Amino acid sequence: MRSALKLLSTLVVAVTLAGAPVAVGAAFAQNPTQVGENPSGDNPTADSVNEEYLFKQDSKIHGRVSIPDQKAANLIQPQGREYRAFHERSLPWIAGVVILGMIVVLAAFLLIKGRMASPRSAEKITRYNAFERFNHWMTATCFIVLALSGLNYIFGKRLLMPLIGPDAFGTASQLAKYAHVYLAWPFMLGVLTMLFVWVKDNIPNRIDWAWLKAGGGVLGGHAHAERFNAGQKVIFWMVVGFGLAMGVTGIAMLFPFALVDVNGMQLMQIVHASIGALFIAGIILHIYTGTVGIEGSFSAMGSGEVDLAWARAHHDLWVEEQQAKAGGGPRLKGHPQPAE
Amino acid sequence: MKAFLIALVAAVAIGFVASVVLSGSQQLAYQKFATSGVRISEPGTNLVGHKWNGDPTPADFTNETREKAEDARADSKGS
Amino acid sequence: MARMKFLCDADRCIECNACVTACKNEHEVPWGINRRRVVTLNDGRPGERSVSMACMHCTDAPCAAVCPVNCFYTTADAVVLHSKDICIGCGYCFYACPFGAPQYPRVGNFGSRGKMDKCTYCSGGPEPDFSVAEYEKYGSNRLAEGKLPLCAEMCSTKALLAGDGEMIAEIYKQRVVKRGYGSGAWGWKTAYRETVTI
Repeated sequence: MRSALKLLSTLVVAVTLAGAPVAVGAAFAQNPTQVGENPSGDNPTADSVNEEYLFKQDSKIHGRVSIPDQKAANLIQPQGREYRAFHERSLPWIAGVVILGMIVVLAAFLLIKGRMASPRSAEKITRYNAFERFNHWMTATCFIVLALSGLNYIFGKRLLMPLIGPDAFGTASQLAKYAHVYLAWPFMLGVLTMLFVWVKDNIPNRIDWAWLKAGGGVLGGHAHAERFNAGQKVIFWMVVGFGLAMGVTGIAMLFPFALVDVNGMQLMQIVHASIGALFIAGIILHIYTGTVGIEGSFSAMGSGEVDLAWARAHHDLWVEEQQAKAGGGPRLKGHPQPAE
Repeated sequence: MKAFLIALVAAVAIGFVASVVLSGSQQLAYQKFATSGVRISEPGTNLVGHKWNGDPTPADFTNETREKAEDARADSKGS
Repeated sequence: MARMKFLCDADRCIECNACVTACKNEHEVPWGINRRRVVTLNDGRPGERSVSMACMHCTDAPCAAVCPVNCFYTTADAVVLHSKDICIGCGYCFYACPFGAPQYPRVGNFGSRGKMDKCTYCSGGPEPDFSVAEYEKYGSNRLAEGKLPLCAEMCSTKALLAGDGEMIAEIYKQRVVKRGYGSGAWGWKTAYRETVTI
C-alpha cells in the first residue's frame, strides 16, 4: 500500500512536470503582448509624448533646451514648408507679373496714346524747392538701389547666376545685401521727410473726386487740381504706406527674432517681398508719368521749375493760389481754365 | 542737378552712418548665446584650436607623417 | 549610394548632450553656435521625452529652395551641404528650415552677419576632402574617411542613429518590435515625407 502510494505520487509529479511546459505555453498564448512586453509590465509609452499628439496641440513642436539660444527650443516647425512654397512658387510669379505687367501696360499706353502734350509758354514757376528735390532724389536713388538689390533676392539666382557663375554672383549678392541693408536707412528717412513735407498738400478732398470722375490725365481731359492731383496723391500715399510697411518689416528682418518668432519672421519676409513687388510696379508708373508720360513734367523735379502754362493745365488751382500769395508775379492772359 | 548730387552724397553718408551704428550694435553669437561659464580662451574662435593634441589632422597627412604616426601608434601598443 | 538620415529614438535619449559636445569638439564649432541640440518635450511631466536634433538633410530641402544665391547642394549620399563662399547670410534658410538647423555667427541680419553654419553630416563642404580650407570652414570630413557622424557614433544609449535611411529604420523597427513601444521617428514626416511604419 505504501509502495503503491509512492508510485502514485511519483506519477503525479511526473505528469505535472511533463505538463508544465504545455501549461506555461498556454499562459504565453493567452498573453499576446508577452513578446514585446516591458518586463516591469507597464507600458512606458502610455503617457509619453509623440509627434502626432504634439502637432494636434500646437502647430509646431516646442520644448526646452539647456542652451541660451531659445530659438533652438523649437523642435519642428513645418510652416517652413509653406514659407518655402510661397517664396519659391508664388512670389516670383507675383513679382514678375506685377512688374512686367506694369511695364507692358505702360508701353502699350505710350504706343497707343503717345505722350501727353502740354501747352508751353515762356514763363516759369517754381514747383519744388531745393530741399524737396534733394529729399526726393535721395529717396529715389535709394529706392532704385533697394529695388534692384531686392529683386536680386528673388530673380538673381534665376537670371543673373547662370550668366556670371556662382562665385561672382555670390560676391555681387553680398555687396547688394550691404547696399540693401544700409541704404534702407536714408530711404526710410526720406519717406518720413516726404510725409511731413507733403502731407498737407495730399489730404484727399472733393476736387480729387471730380478729377477722378473726369478721368484724370488718362482719358485726356484735365480737371481742376491743387498742388497735387488725385493720381499724385495716390502715389504719395502709396509711397508713404508701402514705405512704412517696408520699413517696419525690414527692421524686423534686420534684427531677427528681436520682435517676433520664426513664424513671424516668415510673415515679415513674405509681406516685405510682396509689398516690395507692388511698390516697384507703382514706382515704375510714377517714373513713367514723371518723364515720358507727360511732357514738361520732369523739370518739376529736375530744375524745380515748370512752365507756367504746364502748371495751369495740370494744377490750375495751385497756380492761382501761388500767384495770389505772391500778389502778382507772372500771369498768362485770359481766365485760368483747365486745358482740354 | 545740384540737389540730385547732394542727395546722392547724403544717401551714401547716411548709409555709412547707419553701417557704423549698426555694426556697433552687432552682437556675436557667442556674446548673445553664451552661458556665464569659465572661458579658457578667446570665445567665439575655436575653443582649443585645431591640432590641440599635436596629432596631425588628416589634412596634414603626407606619406611621411602617416608612417610616423603609424610608427608612434605601434610603439605605444608595443610598450 | 546610401540615403543618409538621422533617427533619434526618443525612448532611449537620456538628454546627456554628448552628441552636442561631440559635434562641437569634432568640428571646433564656436560658442553660441549649435549644429546639434537636444530638445526636451513635456519637460518635468510624465511622458517627458528628449530628442536630439540637427539638420535632417531633408528630401527636397526647403533651405536649398529658398536660398537666394543657391549655395546649397545635395551630395550623392543625399547629404545637404552648402558653400560658405557663396552664402550671403540673409537668414532665409532659417525661416524655411523645419528644424531650426542653420546658425549664424552674428545676431543682427546686416552687414557681415557671417556665413551660415549647419550640420554637415560630418562630411565637410565643397572644398577637396581633408583640405585645410574644408576643415576650417566646415569641420572634419568623417564620411570621406568611411566613418559615420560622431554624434551618433558616440551616443551612449544608441538613441541617435545615423546611416542609410533604410538600415536605421530597420534597426529602429526591430527595437520597437522587441520592446513593444516607440514614439516614432521624430521629424521624418516633415523631413522625408515618410515615417517608419511599424
